[in-house]
Amino acid sequence: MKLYLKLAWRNLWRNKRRTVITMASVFFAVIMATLMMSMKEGSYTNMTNSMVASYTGFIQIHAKGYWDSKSMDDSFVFNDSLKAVLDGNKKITGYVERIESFALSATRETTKGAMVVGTDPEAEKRMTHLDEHIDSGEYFLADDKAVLIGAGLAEYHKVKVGDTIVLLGQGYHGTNAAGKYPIKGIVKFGSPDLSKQLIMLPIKEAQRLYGTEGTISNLVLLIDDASEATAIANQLRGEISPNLEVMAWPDLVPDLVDMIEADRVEGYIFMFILYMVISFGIFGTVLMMLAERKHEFGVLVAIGMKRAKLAFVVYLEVITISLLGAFVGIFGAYPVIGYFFLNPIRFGGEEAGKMMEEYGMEPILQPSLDVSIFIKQAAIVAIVASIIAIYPFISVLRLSAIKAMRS
Amino acid sequence: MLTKIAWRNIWRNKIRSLVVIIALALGLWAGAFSSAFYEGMMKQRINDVIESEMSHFQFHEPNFREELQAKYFISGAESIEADMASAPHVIGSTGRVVATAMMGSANKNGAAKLIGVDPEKEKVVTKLNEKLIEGDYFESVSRNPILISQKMAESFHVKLKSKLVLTVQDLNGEIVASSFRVVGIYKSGNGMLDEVNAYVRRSDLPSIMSLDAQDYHEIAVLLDNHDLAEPMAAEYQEKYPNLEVKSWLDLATGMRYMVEAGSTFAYVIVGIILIALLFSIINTMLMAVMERTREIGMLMAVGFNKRKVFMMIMLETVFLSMIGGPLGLLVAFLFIQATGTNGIDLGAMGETYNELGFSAIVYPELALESYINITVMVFAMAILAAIYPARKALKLNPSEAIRKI
Repeated sequence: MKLYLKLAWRNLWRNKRRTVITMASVFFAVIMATLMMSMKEGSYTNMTNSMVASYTGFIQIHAKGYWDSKSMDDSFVFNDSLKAVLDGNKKITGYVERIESFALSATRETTKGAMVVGTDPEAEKRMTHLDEHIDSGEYFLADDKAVLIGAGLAEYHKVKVGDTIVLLGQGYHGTNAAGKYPIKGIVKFGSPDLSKQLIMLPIKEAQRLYGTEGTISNLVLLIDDASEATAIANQLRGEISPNLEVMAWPDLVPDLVDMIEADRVEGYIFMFILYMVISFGIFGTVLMMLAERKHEFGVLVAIGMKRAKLAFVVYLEVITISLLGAFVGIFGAYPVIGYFFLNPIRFGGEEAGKMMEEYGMEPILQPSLDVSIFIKQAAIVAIVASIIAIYPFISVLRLSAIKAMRS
Repeated sequence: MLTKIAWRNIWRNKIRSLVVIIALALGLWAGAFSSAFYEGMMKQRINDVIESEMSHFQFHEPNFREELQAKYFISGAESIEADMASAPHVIGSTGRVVATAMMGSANKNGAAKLIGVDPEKEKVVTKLNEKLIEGDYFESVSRNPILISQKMAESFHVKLKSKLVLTVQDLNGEIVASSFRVVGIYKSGNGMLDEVNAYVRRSDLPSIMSLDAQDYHEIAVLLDNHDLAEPMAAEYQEKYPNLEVKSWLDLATGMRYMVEAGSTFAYVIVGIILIALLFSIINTMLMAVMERTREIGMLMAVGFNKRKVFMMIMLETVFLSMIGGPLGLLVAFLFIQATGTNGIDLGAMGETYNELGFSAIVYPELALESYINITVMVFAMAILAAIYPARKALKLNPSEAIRKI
């Protein structure tokens, strides 16, 4: 085995130019595939960030039934035993208590349904950086009897900071929840969906409004790694009261997940086409290499080299080239994608911006720098290349020494 | 003479030529098919938008779409309806009363868009009756029937004959509540619309919202030809300057963008594919030149100057493109025709497609113009790809080149 490897290795360096060309075809294939995939994945990250990280959070805990009803009757007490479980889990870095319910918001002229959210201003600052989204006015304090209103909703009501807004909804056990609040600030979210329907007020005031002293409806958890959300949620489920439900972000924003899923399917078609083109590119180079070395192979077989051994050496050569090319490709792709990461493509035109906004994301195309994409694409290309390597293997096995030497 | 040498060179080494020809044909197929797939997807979406959502154009009071208040109704709706009844190319038109509402069941309160329709006319314009999956079309409930989506039925925990309370703002801005009974449950192709749209009889709304029977917020018109939507909208905008007349391109957010700039997306993808093709051709041609070191050295030794060698290799590429190009076009055309007739079912890969208003089956199709664009791009790519290897050939030193095996 060692001998074959040595032979293959020496063959590679005997004709450096040929090796470099073949490696280059794998190298560029990896760059292209990675570029395409990371652009796609990057746009999904953008979508999830503008929705999940800025509002819903990656994991939420509610009373069973709340998610469907959004009713104050399904609220729960954030007690010490639950607190102990959360504090004991090192992956959970923080939490925000919220009360969230649907209510009508009204001014003298206009009425519109709104998502009214009572929250802890300090915790919100730490977790979703809500204070950075303030467009005009000021951030609210825990004891304020004032609200923050989404920019889209403010536009609809034609209100500005200092104006008053009336909230009308259903509180605990069907009581009427009605209140009148001054607007302290206007918030702008990456997701216009949120901007169009959110009203936020300090949790104390919300508990008073909905008549739910001491209970909350949502507990939003902060974690470091979004990809671990589902695993952490599953773990928590076993540890806390069975009357509570734990939901990870894919369940919290199913529409977004659907949208990403559909886009991915579409992406597979294009990726498949791209793989076809690049694999033929590699195949072409390998084919040329074979043609070029026919004479050499003929001589080797003529002087007694076993065809199977020769085929194996050639196979090893192609595999080595593919692996090297794929490996170098990872490093080649990094600066290309890094460039687009630092200088994201901004969707030109008003219409483009509007469309992206409708889907709740910022109108930029920024590729993902997730290392796993690089490795995955390099692996796929390397696998394709090693499948292609079967062709020279077979063709050397069938080699006729006399014909080969005559060419 | 040069042409003849180049032509013969191609056929002397068939494997090499075949590799380049197939790479070119494959690149052309890949570019054309990606575009066709994208165009097919867009077309599907456009048809869905027109046929089941927006129709071809709509009339509104200029403030209505922005503010959605009952007081912004269309005045003079009768004359518009009369116009539409006699206009050519109009398949149907229907007036609607639209209100944002808060919908409440025993379990949940949530936002809804309440749409008052004329059941008979709506059948013609949006085929609402064909979207029913349960119950019937405003028939079995005599007082205040309402059609809700399957999604709403699930989230509000209601079924047929359940009661729903709808709270809306009336003409004077007062908040009024009224109860409706579920007569049917529908499911349209578009999950986002299913989230909010609830349909009632238009005739039930005037008494609730203090409107007159002829006060519509929206008149939707369906034509027999997509291309007429824009010009006809413009024509009626001129005739009714006090109203807003807009085609589907402006009504559905992002549609104009999707149609006008959407092909850029396809070109980005085609671009990446073509660059991949560029590198694969460069590599193959480079191999070809290296392999022919001896032969090219010989040509130079017998008096071929550098310009001639360069021209010869470029000419070979042109010949190869002229064979690979049409071959690729033919394959692409047949492939697009075949998939375009049978459709490609994405449903097998993702069930979520319908949720977004995209049909799960895509019928790829490509306009003649796009075929030409892609062919030109692939040819340009092939010529570009040949320059580097051809330059490499120039750098060969004849005496050294001949010595090489």
